[in-house]
Amino acid sequence: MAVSLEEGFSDATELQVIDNALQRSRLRTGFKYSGTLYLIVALLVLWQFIGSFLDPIYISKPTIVASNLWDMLFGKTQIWHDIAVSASEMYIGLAIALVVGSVLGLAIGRSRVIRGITAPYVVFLNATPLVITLPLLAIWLGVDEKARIVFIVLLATWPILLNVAAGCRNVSGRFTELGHSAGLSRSDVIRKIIIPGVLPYFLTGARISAGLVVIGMVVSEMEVSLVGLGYLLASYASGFQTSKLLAVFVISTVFGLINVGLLSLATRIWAPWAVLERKER
Amino acid sequence: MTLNDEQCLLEVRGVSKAFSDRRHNRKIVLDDVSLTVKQGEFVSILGKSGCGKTTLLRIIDGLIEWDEGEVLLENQSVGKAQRQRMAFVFQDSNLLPWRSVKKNVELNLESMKELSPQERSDRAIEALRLVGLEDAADHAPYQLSGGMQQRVGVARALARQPAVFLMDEPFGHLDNFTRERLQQEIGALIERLNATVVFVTHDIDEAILLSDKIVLMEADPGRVSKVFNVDLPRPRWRYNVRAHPEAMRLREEIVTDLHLKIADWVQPEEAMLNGSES
Repeated sequence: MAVSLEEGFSDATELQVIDNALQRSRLRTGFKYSGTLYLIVALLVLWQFIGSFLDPIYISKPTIVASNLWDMLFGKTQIWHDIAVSASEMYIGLAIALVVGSVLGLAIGRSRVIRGITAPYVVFLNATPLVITLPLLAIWLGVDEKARIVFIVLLATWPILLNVAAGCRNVSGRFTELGHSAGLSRSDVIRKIIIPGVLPYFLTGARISAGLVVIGMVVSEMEVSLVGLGYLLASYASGFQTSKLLAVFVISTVFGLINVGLLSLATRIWAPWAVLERKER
Repeated sequence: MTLNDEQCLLEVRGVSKAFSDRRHNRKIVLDDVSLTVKQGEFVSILGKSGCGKTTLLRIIDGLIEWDEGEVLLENQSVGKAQRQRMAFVFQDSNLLPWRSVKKNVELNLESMKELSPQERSDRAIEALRLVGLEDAADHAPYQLSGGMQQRVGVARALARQPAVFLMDEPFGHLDNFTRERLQQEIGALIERLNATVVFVTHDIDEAILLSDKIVLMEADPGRVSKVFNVDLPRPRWRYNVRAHPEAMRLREEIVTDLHLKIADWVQPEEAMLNGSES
């Protein structure tokens, strides 16, 4: 096939334009983040200002919340035990949800029969406010971490399952014919096309779930626990200790931010095309 | 086995295919379709949407099963070995977003165990060079324009060095300017390589510009209604082809044939009128 090409096929300039546009979009992202930072500072100042006119029971003040937070982490009333209990429940729950969600999602996405059988249950359970299962779980499993972990798993499985199933169908529809045409075997189609294709959907689901496990942890500990961040929130709330309540709130939020941030990072590392494709459109 | 120019390379013999829908109504998509493709020949399958032309192409590539008939490559019934000698170009370039341009081209070589990774890479680069995109080898697909992506799709097929290219409306999703450019460029490339192509399209001018033979299909059920030979000199350029008397005559004939079929279905009286004119 050694044929030289006379016609103007080369698009060097076009490629250059594309590369430049990519660089510009990166610059813009940097600016957006600094804007977010200014807004946070402004809101904190506003909170401090308004807080100094009101009884601390209502919204307290950032400075008081910060000193309470310091106390909880490094001072006299350390709550590391509660943090550890909450974190372990949350991450065990998330790990189980990741496995269960992706296995069920792949099965539902790949097999029309399984999809047909499970579809009504998926719709039903996804539409159910799952908090109502919490008292039941407490009755079945007792007021301990088992019930809480099961609740967290129940909550966090859905986004992963639904995303993986949708991704699987989408990728199968788009690319399996390509794989067959390329002469790939069934296992190669799964390994080279389905798995990498589903990965960004899985990570999207996991990112949503990583936020949900914090909610699941807090809610389940408020209801069925005598330990953990959720329990502390509930007990400070009933004692009108707003500053401490908000300090625990900050810790929970930090968990949420870390979870979602780690998964965004994972998406950038493992599925950069998904992030960049979105940005381009 | 060597073939001279006049021998039949690919043959479709009496292929029929019916799908059943959810209510188990059988719909005949292809009814007794036959066609032959010679070595180095460019054959277009022209027809309206729904006439089963893409289904036919998929059957040739073994992507879907068919009910009756035979598909032969070099006089042998198409199996795994024959399929490796065909390459499909999809309507949508269908590039895997997680692979670089070069790795996308290599995908089509990964079932060929006899090739070493180095040979795969060399073939991919050579194919990209043919479509003028060797500089984009390490780019990601989303960084390329639609036309460039489609050329990568063509390179992916070229890398296989197939006996037959199967192209399913490869320029159908492109904007008009890019389509015209690619018709010219890919057309010239195919001509130089003396490649054998089965090309599905619904664009009459595209079919006339590129083909040696046009197989016109009708819908419901999908059948071959007529076969036209395109006796136009090569190399062809869009503008001198358009003005060529033979091309105009051919176009007229195809349009009449297509419209007669439409009118047949819509309004019998008008169809008779048109029929008596031609």
